Amino acid sequence: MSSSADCSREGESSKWLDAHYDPVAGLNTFSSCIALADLHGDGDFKMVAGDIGSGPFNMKLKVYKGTSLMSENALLDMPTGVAAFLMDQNEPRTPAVAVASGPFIYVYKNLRPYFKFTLPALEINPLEKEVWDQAKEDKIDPLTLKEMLDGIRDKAEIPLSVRSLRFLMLEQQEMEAFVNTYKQLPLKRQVGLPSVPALLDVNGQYDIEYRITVACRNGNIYILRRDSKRPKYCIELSTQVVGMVRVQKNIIIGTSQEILLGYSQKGKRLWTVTLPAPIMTMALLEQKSRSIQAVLVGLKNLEVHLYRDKNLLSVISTPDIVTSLCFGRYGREDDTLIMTTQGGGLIIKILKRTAHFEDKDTAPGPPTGQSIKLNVPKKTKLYVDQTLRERENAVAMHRVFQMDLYRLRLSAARAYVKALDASLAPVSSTMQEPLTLNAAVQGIGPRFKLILNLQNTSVNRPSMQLLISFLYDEQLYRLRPAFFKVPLLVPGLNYPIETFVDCCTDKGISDIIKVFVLREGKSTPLLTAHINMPVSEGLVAG
Amino acid sequence: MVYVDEIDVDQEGIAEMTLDENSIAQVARPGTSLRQATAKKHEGPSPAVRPVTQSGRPLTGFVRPGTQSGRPGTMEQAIRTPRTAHTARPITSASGRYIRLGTASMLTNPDGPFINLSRLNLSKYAHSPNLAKTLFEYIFHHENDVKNALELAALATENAQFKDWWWKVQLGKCYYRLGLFREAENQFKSALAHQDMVDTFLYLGKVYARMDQPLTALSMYKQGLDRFPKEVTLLCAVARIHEEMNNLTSATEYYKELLKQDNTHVEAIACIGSNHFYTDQPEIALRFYRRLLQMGVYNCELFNNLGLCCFYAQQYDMILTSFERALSLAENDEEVAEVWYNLGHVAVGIGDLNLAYQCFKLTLANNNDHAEAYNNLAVLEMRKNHVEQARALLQTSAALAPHMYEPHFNFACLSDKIGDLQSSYVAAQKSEAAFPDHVETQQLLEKLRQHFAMI
Amino acid sequence: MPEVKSMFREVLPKQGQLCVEDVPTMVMCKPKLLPLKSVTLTKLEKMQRDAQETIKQQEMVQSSQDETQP
Repeated sequence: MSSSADCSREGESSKWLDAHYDPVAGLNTFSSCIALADLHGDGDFKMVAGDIGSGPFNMKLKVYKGTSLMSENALLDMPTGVAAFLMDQNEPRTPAVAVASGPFIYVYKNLRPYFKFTLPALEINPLEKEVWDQAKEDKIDPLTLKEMLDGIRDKAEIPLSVRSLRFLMLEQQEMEAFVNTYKQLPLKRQVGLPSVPALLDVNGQYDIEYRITVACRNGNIYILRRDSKRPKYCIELSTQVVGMVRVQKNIIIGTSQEILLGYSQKGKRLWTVTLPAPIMTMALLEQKSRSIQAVLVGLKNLEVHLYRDKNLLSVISTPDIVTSLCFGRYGREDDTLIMTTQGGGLIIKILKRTAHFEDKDTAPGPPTGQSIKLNVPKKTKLYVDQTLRERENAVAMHRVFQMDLYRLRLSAARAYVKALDASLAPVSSTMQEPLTLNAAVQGIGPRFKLILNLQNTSVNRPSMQLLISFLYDEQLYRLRPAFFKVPLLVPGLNYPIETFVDCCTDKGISDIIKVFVLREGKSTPLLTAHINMPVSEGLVAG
Repeated sequence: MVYVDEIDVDQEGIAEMTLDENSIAQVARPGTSLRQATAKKHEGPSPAVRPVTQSGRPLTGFVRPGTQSGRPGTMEQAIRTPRTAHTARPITSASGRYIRLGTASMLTNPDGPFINLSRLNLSKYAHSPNLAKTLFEYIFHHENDVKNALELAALATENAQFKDWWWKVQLGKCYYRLGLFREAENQFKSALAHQDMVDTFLYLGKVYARMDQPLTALSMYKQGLDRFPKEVTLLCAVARIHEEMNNLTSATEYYKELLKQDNTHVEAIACIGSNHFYTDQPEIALRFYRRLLQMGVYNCELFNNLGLCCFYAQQYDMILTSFERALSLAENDEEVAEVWYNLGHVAVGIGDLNLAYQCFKLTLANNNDHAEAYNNLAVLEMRKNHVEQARALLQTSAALAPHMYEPHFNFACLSDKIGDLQSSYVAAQKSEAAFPDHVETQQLLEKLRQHFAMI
Repeated sequence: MPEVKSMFREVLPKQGQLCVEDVPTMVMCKPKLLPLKSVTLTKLEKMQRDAQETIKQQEMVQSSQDETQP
């Protein structure tokens, strides 16, 4: 795998040119808050980013030109989206920038605030309104306010406003400050579909026909068309939607299960791709000159993947986790990829003109294992000759083989019967006495230890009244004891029974000791094991 | 006559292996030591195809004194290996074969020794070179009395003013027997300085191999090959070292080279034949073994191998006659056991499981410690659903041969089937340790890990 | 609670896999090619065997002699 990673990295450098990397640019933003636009009509596209800053402060609208910050405007609230659009037909055609933050959409022209659009408020619970009015007039204290809002929340049908919900989440000390800050402002509420929308994508024109694809927090995706008030199609997912990109007529959705899904316009699932890491962000890559439309997916494992349908086209390694992606024309260069990272850094890469995407560019497509050739040896001439021989003499060979086989069966059976009669095997073959015996020798002499591993192999019957006896050359060995009883054997357990053997010769010879497992009352042993004793080292002088 | 080729004879005692003073590094770098079980991952057929010996190296086609028992890791393992008079690894080389050779020689003369060594005046004989040389040979090979031989050799060398290469080589041999490898190395090197002889190169290589410096040994052999190009014994020695270091491809190369020089070299033919068998070319292996038959090798092992190759090359008419011949030529119970074991495989191959059962049982009857037969018998018992028997057999097999992965894996399967996941996991880990690339072990481990992780 | 008839249509594909289950199967040990022994080894083993035999013979002769002599 490392070799494929290596060549993919080499492949990457042939596709992407590193233009700029500033790890401390201090830019924290999301994909939905970056836009590329030619703000001054001079052909030099700028990047407009809504910076969420650090916490609830420092929200700014930053404009980048080249590799540096050009200007900054402060924002009142957290930006949730930035878009550039052409507002009017005036020459030169400069787009306006719209920034959504809070319940307002601010429109900037030439980087100066131009227009502020307030989203229409939804119905407010009258009880709630009353309660806040009371707070405004300092009629009730924060605790009571809390209790009453709690009550409303439990009972009322119209949900509480955001402000009240925030209030209820606060600690007691902060409640008072909160009330003081907000009691003067009129109460408002945000817009929502059946559920809270998270991601939006728009296609088409307002006057003629448009489609809005909305991904919501309840895991559903709604497709709204011009002619209907309610969503026309709905895709129900079982996990949260993390990113959504529309590529031509298909919707590509990234979920929190590290899966990339492709859906058709009507909501039919087309394909699934499993990713190696959680998705941070997604964006569209559109290169008009070669009409490539692909999806960029930023992952938590410091990689950015590029997918066209379900094929992985390329992988870019980044030094930090990418939190936002934007592809488009920047500066005077088409095909620029701008990424911001979790640490606030800014990476700019340019797609080379010579970059060529093939569907099977990087592993995996089919697993790499499939492309390794199996080491099947070549058919040798000898093999072919022998198969010829087989074909020619098939009948004769078969006859000979069958005859030999019968002879073999006979000799095997004879030998087997002999072994059974003499109980030569260390494994008992009768069903009444299922036992296994294995003997091992330890030691270097002149004293050895014999370990007999006896095991009862029946399912649930213990073995009782067993005895062990030895047969050996008494000139060579002395065994103490040579005959003893075996305790009750529980099925399934191994019993190592030890005994000592002394070698009383110094001539450097050894012999076989036979071990028998006997049952009281039977004359033939149940099992036999024979041990080839090793040469005793002890008494051999140097 | 007890004269044996000294170059071939080499038996390391257990004590010498564990109390080794000559090792240079505690942990050798991979590929530089003969002691490490496997320097690299299995080259060529994996343990899934080719049986593995106790040292972790695949079973080779040829066996020499010293290569038989592999190199066990611990003292306990060393003592546990079945140590019969035939195959025993002695505690020290002093007590090993040499003593037995000595007694063997003594036995051939029931009237007492031919020459009474303690009464000899060695310095007198050291002066007459011809007599001294013969006397030395007698003392060293026949009587196996290294100390006296050393004394004689030292006196004789002195007498020859340290210019006689022959005495230096003999001195080297004596030092080698006594375990003084550095001194042996010096002697051999100075002998080489006087006179290039193939034997000296071989002895020197043997010294380095004993000191666990295979790469130095190889360079020595290369030097020898420069001086004596294409010398068969040197090529063979190089091939052996490669085989011991588990470089089977290089070893095969050298054996092939060897065969070009001497196409009756039994070792080379046997090794290449076994390599071909285990790389799925049994017909080629059959051809090699047939060649050995032509050359007049006529023993149990050869017929056993012929039978196996015939079976896998589908020459059905010759299988059973070969095995029958093998059975009749077997010299001891172990060989009989092995032949029955392979017959069991043939039976499994043709589907006659009763016959296979009988054959494996016969294997066990002849050799109670045949781990593979226990394992295969367990597989057959599982087919008949005799779980307890299979379990006992697998336990025995695993205890007898912990280096094989099959009994561990089978035990894991069996435990998994009956629901004993704990034992299954432990056994699967042992199987993984023996053969890390086994896919089914990995799958089983994965499955078990998921089981354990779920609530 | 009104009875809700669930309209589950079973999916019976006519081709392709329906379900795959991998059960670990036991493996057998491999057939063993017996290594051939070198000339040296054969000689050594033969010598050892002969020596053992001779000693045993001697022992037997000795023990029978011991028996006959009180």
